[in-house]
Amino acid sequence: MRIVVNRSLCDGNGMCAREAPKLFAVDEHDALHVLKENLDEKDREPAERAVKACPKAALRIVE
Amino acid sequence: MNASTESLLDRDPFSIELMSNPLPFYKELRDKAPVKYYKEYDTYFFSRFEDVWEVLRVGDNAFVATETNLPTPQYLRTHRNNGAPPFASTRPMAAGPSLPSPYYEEMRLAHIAPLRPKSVAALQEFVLGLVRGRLRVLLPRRKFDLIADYAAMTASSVVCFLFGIPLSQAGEVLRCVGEIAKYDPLKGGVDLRSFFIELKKHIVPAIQARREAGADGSNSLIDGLINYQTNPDDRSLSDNEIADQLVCVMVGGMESAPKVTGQGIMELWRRPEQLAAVRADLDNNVPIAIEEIVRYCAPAQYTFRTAHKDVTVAGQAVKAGQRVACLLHSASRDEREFKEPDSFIWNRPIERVLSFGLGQHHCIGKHLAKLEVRTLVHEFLSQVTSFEIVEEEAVRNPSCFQRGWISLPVIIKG
Repeated sequence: MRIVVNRSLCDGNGMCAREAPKLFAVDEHDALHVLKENLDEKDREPAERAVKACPKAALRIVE
Repeated sequence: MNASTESLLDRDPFSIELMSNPLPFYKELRDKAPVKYYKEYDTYFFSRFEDVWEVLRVGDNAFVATETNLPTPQYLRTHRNNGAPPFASTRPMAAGPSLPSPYYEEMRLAHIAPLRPKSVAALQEFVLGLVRGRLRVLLPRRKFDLIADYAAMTASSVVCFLFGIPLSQAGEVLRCVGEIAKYDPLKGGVDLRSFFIELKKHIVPAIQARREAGADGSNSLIDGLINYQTNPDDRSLSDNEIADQLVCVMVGGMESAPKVTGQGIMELWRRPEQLAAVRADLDNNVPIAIEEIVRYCAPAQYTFRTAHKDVTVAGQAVKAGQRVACLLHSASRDEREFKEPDSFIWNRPIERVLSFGLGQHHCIGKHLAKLEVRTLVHEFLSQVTSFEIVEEEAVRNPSCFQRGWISLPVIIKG
């Protein structure tokens, strides 16, 4: 299971980093960094929250 | 009792009658026909929160604002697509909002930098200075217009700052937007063509000034578009093409935040116990109240897309060439999402909103708008201990897509 970011959609709103700070971070230029490429089962819930919270619908989980 | 049994759903959704008082219409849609097809416009109207949420998340150029996100009713009535229409032109580059992927995203990324959260946070002191400056001029008058004199002048000054337009022109730019955004009942909706032509008279000189200054990136709203090279033909954009990409920031920056600010202050004033609760700790409570103010007062009524593929969404099959209309304000008043949605409750829990749209076109200026509204509300309430809105002098504009107060006179009592 991993996170796929549509980079051209991402505006750097940072909602994912707020919902799942262990999986995402936004740097001082508001650029998004995925902190963990391959997710464990315990990451599923925060990852799903991040996907839902993204106002650009730029994130998805691929099994 | 005949009048009450007659369905609003049989009337023209764009009639002045429904547009000037849309909430009962939205409720009837949500309850009786959550996805309603209007043949005359070849459009499906989505009115429930969950359905709008789903429609706006559809990507991959299935729904594109090819016919603009705000087509006029007259246009919709007289243009019927036979299958998917051609995508908007990229040579010349059409106005940003009508473009498909990847051009839409390329144009957006070329000018979004000053609107990202941390760039906006850096403007906090500047915005606070503008707001305090306005209050220094306005408060001694004891009566002024909360929207035109206070909020809109501030928003216009911020827009001018971003464009590198002298702040002394803020009043003139504001008048231009206000004049052309007025509802034209004969045409229905806003005539986007003349709107663009008028606004570009202010935008094009700002672009030319950046070219002359070398477009070195120090104005990140404009310079990225000047330095942009199209792919694959590798050409630069003309002044006019760049201006077309920036109209949205200019109008959006001046239209919505002032209406939300003015009505937000009025809704608090109408409920003295809520106003007192917010006043108890302005620093902590204003940011909370802003969330409800945005849900309750956001003026954008709808956004359109045209289907470029056959899509089934929210249980509805939409054929290529047909249109979908997402009723954003109806979604904010959906009782399936919000408890007592027509009540203003400053600290209600709000899990998610559609007031800024969602997906590809999600409001590019959201963070700036929220900073402005927050600062305007906070400073007004901290400097004014007692005030009265002159409701009988207030003016509401039944504009099709941006509904809200355009004038709210306020009397300062203390």
